[in-house]
Amino acid sequence: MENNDYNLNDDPNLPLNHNDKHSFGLPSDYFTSFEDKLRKKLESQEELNHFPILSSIPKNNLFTTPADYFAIAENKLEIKAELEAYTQLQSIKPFVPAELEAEYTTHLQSTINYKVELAEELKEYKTLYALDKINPFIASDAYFESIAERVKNKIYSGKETKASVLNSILDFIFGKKMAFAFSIVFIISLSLYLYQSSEKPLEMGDCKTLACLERQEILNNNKVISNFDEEQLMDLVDVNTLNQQLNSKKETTSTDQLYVDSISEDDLLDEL
Amino acid sequence: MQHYSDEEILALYREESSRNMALHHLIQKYQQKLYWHIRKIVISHDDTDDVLQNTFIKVWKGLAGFKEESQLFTWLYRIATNESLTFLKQKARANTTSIHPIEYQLSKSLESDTFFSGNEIQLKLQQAILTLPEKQRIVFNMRYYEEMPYEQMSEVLETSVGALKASYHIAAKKVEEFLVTN
Repeated sequence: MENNDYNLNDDPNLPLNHNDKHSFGLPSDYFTSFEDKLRKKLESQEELNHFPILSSIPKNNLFTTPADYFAIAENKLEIKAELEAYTQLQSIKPFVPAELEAEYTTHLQSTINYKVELAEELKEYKTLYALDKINPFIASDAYFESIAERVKNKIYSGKETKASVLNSILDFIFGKKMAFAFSIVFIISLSLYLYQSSEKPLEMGDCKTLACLERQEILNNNKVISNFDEEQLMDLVDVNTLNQQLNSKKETTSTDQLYVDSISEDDLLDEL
Repeated sequence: MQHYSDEEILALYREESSRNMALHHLIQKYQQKLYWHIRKIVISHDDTDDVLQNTFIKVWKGLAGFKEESQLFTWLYRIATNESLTFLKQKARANTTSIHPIEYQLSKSLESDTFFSGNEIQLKLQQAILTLPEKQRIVFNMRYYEEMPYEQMSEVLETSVGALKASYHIAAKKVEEFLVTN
């Protein structure tokens, strides 16, 4: 019978020993090893017959392997086989990275987002954005190993910076607040001085009256006197002294004694 | 190196017997961060060393009164920033022989500084940063180099987030202009 669909000669799984009588192929040593295989199987079954419970349990493989175990194992074996030729490499222990912190992966996304945000912010400044963000400063050798000790020595020896008290005083004196305060005080003082000097009362002299003042002094303070009304002028004037002075002027004129009440403001000013 | 957490350091500090250990761990944990922060303000390594030591001394003295209203880190940063600015003011006051402002002197010192390893463009960048007013310089360094979030910066500098963003924007623009024109 000819097989039109499938050519047994092409089947790689069958190292065929063609039997001219039959079209099916089979492994070349099949019949020679068949008896041996069958004998072993019968022997193991006879052994089990002595253990009826054991023989009743189906012979299933209950062990499982991780997914892709054999594929990975094959890969590992291939790598190992490749390394066989390189003894130095084999002697180096493969690097096993430390376990990541538990929060690392949760923070990773936010860290990346933040870095992106910083880069976006800097994009607006083209020159700055183009520069490598490196720290150009360097510290002296072993600086950070020694700083802790020096700080501790300074703290426990009770040393302080020598000029600290003086510097704090200078900072206070030359500070902006003090300068502002001084300027305010100065302006107020100057204003008060100018105001008071323009309002300065006339010195009355020993007799404490306007009558004792020299004419020039009065004229210099004309502005003050001109602001006085009649009653104020009356209060300031010593009547007796004024009368004397006025009477002394009567020698050339024949006038009666002047009464203070009848004297007008303008007359007083003129007489003075 | 595994550092102690802030809570652990404070707990060690509260115990008289472990106070020394608390100081050791505090310095180990924060020395580098504070060093680089201060260095970008005062520029010189020797000056940074002085300021860093003063910072830790001040921290140590003030740790008893630390109320934990803010994070230990932001408190340390605040002290370091203030100490750096105070140092610069003192340096400016002490240097009466020069007519140039202190930032100009720092900028010039960079050119011959043995502890500066940047190339020409990095030098220009540092000089550009030194042209900024103090506050803007600090904001720029904290954002550009230290990549600190604005919220954290706000706690350190006690300024609003909006003001910091504006400050950074202005600072970056000025730096950009300096780099382009120089």
